[in-house]
Amino acid sequence: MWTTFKITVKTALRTPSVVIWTLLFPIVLATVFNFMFESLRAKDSIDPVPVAVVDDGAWDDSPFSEVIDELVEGDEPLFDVQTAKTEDAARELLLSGAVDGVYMADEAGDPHLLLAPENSSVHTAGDNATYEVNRSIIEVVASSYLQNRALIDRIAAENPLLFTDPEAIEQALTQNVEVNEISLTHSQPDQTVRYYYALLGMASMFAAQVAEGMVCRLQPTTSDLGARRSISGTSRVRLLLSTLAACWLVSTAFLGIALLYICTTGNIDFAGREPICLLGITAASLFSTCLGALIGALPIKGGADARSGILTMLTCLLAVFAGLYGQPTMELADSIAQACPAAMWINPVSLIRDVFYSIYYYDAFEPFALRALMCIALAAVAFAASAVFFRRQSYEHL
Amino acid sequence: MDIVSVTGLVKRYDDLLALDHFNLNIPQGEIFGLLGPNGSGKTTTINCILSLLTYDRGSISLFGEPMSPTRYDLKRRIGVVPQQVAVFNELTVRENIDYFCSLYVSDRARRRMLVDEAIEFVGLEEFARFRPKKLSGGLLRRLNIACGIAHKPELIFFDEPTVAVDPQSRNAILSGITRLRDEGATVVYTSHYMEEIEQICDRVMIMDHGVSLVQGTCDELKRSIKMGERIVVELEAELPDRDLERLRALPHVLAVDVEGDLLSVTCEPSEHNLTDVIAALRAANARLGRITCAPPTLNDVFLEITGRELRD
Repeated sequence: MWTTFKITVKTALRTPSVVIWTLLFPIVLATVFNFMFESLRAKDSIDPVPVAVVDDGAWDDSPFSEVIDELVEGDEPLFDVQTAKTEDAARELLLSGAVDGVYMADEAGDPHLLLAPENSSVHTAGDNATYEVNRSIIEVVASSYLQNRALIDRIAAENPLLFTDPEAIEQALTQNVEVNEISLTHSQPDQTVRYYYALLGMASMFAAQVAEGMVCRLQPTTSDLGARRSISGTSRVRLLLSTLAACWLVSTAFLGIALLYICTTGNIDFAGREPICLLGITAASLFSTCLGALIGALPIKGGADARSGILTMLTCLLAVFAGLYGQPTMELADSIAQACPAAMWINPVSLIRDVFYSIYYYDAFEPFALRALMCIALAAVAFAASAVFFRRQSYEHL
Repeated sequence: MDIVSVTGLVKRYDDLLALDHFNLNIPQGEIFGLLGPNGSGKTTTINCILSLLTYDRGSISLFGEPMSPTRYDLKRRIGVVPQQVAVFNELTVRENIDYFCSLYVSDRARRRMLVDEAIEFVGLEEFARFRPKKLSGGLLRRLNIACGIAHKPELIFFDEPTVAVDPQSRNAILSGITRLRDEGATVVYTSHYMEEIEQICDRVMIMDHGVSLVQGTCDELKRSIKMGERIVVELEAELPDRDLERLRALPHVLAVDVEGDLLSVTCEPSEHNLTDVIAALRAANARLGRITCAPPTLNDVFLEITGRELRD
């Protein structure tokens, strides 16, 4: 048994199609995803907002200039300030798109704001969503200053004694609005991870090709090697078990490498749950191995190529319903999940995708455990069916 | 004791009767040849014996015990060299032999020794680290043989092992099989190359349409037919029909055939066949070229029994 296990591993590692489809394909596709989603992820951090200030005498005397100076400092400055000598020069910067807004001060020290007109090219060129965000920031900073200023003026008029209590003044000026980012999930939610998990599901199905090919090599009806091994002094059940164990190991290793690649290059953080991911990989590859064995043992004509074709077709088709091929298929997968939740438990690609999904999104382990157990249960069903087909096949050729 | 004993074997493929109450007994230590045209039932017989095929009726015993698909104790005493080269293209020569040997021998140290011996036996020492794709057809056949015999089986089946093999490799394979017999193994050898069968087999069975036509040693088979020898004469000019009739009328002449400038005279066993034929040709003023005289072949045996050539 050990020798069969060993040579099955060697054979799989030396078979180019196995390495390409089971190991390289998910890595290549994950790399493509990385490039595709790079710009989406970049939006999560805010770049400094480009603004211009009209640096005249009024600006220097205005307390608002000090506020802007504070917002420019620090590790994560809010503004990227350009200085214009005159209002016309600042307006030119605005119309050219170099800045998203202009601050200036009047003689009383109050801030004034210039924004690009609605029909300006600034609104249509480039990334409009970014411009809208920047514009809001520019407006909020100016209006907050004016509100605080009005508050201080009112205190001075109605209750000047308060100025003897700096803490009270500071409290009054502080806008008690605190924004805390909290996560309802175990990890930082990321829309793009769905694609990576669907990819892992698809890669698991490709890993089924390993077992499918190896089981074909055990059967006298599909290969000369199978005929030779069938008449050897080792029982066919032992050959089948050791072959499937080797396929399981190879699939787990390949999928583990793919997961490692995805986690490191795709910046998917499982927040310390990586060992659970490995368990998920192990369950997924067990399922795919047994599924491959079932396809390999199907009592059909056409040899190993026909079985391989069936598995490839099945993989590509099931990946559609798991939402691998972009937004439309993702919406289709969501619709199916809502209309028929059971479909997500039967489709191997969806099930394996959801194994990782449940690790990523749920605090509790039950959703993961349920799906992993479902993988194992389906693996047992597939193995039992393959064993029945395997035993019943005889070498009926002239 | 017979190593192989097959009694009343019947095997059908739908409407085709592949083996028809077939009987076979092979004693220990001989090379037994199964000779017959393609589709005569040779491979089906072997596959039934090996339990690779189910059969409809009859019984099969190996080493005196009934054979069944789960008799791994019996299977471990058998070696098979299939007609098709069945090896792993991803493994080296040594790895292939070691793997197939491991299906019979679990002890690693003993296996290492057996693999070395098998590599030496088939002369693949220089190619032990090569993968099969790098080997020529003849070397591949040798690897195929090494994979089948490495575990030193007591009974070895060779199913057309020399198909598409160059003469040098063929001779090496045939002499190797003889050595296996000399070392104590019993060999079942199937082929449609009668020269090979005649060269190495101790006993031969000729089969056709799933039945045994005749069996015995090559000499016994040849003696069992009417033909004693064939005289072939190269003629420089065509012989008239009346002279051909005179030849046919000679005593002991069974048949006279002309093919191109070659005259073939098939005779019963007799001491004076050659002198009688030459005298008759001289009397007909025929100008003679090269003359050869050959004893019957297994093809002649098959021809006389079935009326067909072995290679038809």
